[in-house]
Amino acid sequence: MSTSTVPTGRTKVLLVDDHDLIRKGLRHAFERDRQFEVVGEAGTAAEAVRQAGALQPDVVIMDLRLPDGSGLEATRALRKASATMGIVVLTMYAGDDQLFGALEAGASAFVPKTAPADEVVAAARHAASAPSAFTAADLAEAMKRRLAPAGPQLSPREGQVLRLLADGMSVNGIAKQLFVSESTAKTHISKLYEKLGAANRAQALMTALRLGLLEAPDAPKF
Amino acid sequence: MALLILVAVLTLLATRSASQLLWIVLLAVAAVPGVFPPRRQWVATAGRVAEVLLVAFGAASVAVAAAAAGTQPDGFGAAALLPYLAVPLIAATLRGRASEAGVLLAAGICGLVVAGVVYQLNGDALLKSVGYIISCAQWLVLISLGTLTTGALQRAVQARREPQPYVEATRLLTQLRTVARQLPGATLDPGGIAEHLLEEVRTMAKTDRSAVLTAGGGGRLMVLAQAGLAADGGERHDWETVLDTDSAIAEAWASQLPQTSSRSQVRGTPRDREVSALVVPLVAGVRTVGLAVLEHDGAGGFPPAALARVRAAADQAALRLEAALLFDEVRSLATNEERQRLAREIHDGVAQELVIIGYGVDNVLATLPAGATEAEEGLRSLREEITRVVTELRLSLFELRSQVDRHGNLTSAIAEFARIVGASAGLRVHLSLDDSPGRLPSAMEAELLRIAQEAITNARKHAGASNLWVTCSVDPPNAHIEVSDDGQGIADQRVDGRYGLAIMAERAERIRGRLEIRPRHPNGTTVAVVLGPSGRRDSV
Repeated sequence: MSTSTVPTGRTKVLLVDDHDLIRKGLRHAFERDRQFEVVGEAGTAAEAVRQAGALQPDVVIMDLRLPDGSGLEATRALRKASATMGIVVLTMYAGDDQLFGALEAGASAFVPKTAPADEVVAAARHAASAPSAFTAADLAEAMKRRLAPAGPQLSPREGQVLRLLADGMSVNGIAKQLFVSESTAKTHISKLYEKLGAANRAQALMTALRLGLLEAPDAPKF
Repeated sequence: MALLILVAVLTLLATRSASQLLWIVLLAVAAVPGVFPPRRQWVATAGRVAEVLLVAFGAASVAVAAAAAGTQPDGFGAAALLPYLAVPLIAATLRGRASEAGVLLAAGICGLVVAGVVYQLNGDALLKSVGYIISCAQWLVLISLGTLTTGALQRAVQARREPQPYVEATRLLTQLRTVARQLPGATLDPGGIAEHLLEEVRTMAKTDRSAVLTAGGGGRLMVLAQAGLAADGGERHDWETVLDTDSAIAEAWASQLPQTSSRSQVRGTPRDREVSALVVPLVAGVRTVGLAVLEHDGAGGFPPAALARVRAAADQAALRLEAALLFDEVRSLATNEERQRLAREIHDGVAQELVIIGYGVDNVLATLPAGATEAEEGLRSLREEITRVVTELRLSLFELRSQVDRHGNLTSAIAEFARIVGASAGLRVHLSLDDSPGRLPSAMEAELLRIAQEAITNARKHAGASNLWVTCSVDPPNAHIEVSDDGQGIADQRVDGRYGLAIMAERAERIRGRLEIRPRHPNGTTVAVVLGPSGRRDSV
């Protein structure tokens, strides 16, 4: 492992992955680029934290699954020690949990292992210049997914009932409007209250407004 | 037996008279319940008490007779019969009844004192003779020591044997394996057992609505099976499933005793409606496994005779239901663990190796001499292929690893899977979700998630679709999950293995659901799995 710390003006990179052939592949990619210099490699999370302390790299390429623990833990430790270190999280796992986990741990970039080596280098370039600005190819989509429906899921019928409740209709009125019996309407209402964690109509409507299940009644209805 | 002969000989030697052998005969009779253990414990205990008292009075009687015969003056003759006192005491200890041995010892002492007062020697109470007291005290001490030693030895031997819980667990698991192999799948199926119970109780009592509930997550019950029309004629019953209310259901769950009520256990039923409700807990051992709820529209629906019959049926079903629920849980735990292990293996093995090959190709591509366009083209398409395979593996890993979270629910698990997979394949995903606060049994949730995953993966891989519709509505015990795409449809595709249709059908069957695969209009395919009454109506 190279331990050169000679100031060269280049961006110093530490590679963390438990497969040495992956480290080798990435090392080649970084060495082709004049901006970078690979100063160290680590195969475990503990080794990564130790080397990062000793070598003070500008960018760490961090695999998420390491033999002695999660790369997220190591990322958190590195971020705590330095606010300016670029950290690129590399993972095979799909799923938004991984992406948001990396964001919350303080990573600078998130790259799936499906991406070509050049993308890892590009992410490292970004991480070196803006370590605190998180970037990921899928970020916007993932954000949208996370923001999508967080609250309870209403059936179409319950949505109708909710709007009728907001209009101030009585149970009897709702039953007539929906062409169902009064007890069926009551069942819908009690299920709706339960989903919204509400004990009465006012609470249910407040919760629904807060969750965006109802439009605020700003426009006059009639 | 040997001891009996020994004391007989000693008695004969001491008294030189056959009349005292009557005591020996009586002792032999008293020993019978101990030798041939009767079914009732108290008979053996009574036999042992009789033995102790007979020894006490016999010893006193022999002492007097021996003094009269002149062989053992001063009451030492009691020593002839006293050794036999060891028999009932050690027998009680060996049966693990240490406290009974203590009581027997006390009874022996009392008997000896009373007999010493009753029997006369040389015109005075036998108790006042030194020989009687010494021989009694001697033997009582010896026998107490012997009893204590026996108890300690027995415990030491037992401790050295196999640890009991493992023996028991092995026996039960072996039995379970035998049962699970012999019976068709449906017999260890909680839903099937619950439905069978409902059919059974319907013949025992006038029942308009009934349900079997079992423990769900978060202090709630979930409906395993239900029958009959709701009060308003609809098919939906909104059973009271919250345990911290003051309903008969909550009461029966907590008390493990049947409850009757004049109020309906269906939420939203008007208070003034005349209903008789019966809630019978299904108790296996000490654990409440579930509840059977029966309702009749009208007063006095459940007379004591009907209640007794329903209870008997419920008791039988409880154990079966417990076995089925346990079996499901064990199976789903084992499956899940194996999936996680498989995922780790793929992740650390072939997946990383493919990534290495990918980076290798990237490096060769970057160092190609200028002008090698043909090689570059070939390598680029190779890299694309590698990326495709790694992406495929990554999604397989995601599929293997995803499971229905204990705190989340089935709809959100399916929704997340659809969103992630849809995004990776450039599909526009349309979700229509409707979940209820109730939960299905975790084994069912797992199967439904797997079916949905398979259907979504099919749409992504084979359909060439641009839109994916996922409808998911869960209302235990009913569920409806539908996955549609607008791709090329399966008519012109091979319908075997590759589509995982057989696996989906098998999974659906395991949870007694119905799998439907039909072309979507105007193009594409719809895969639906339906759980609950609407799902079974046309398949029956």
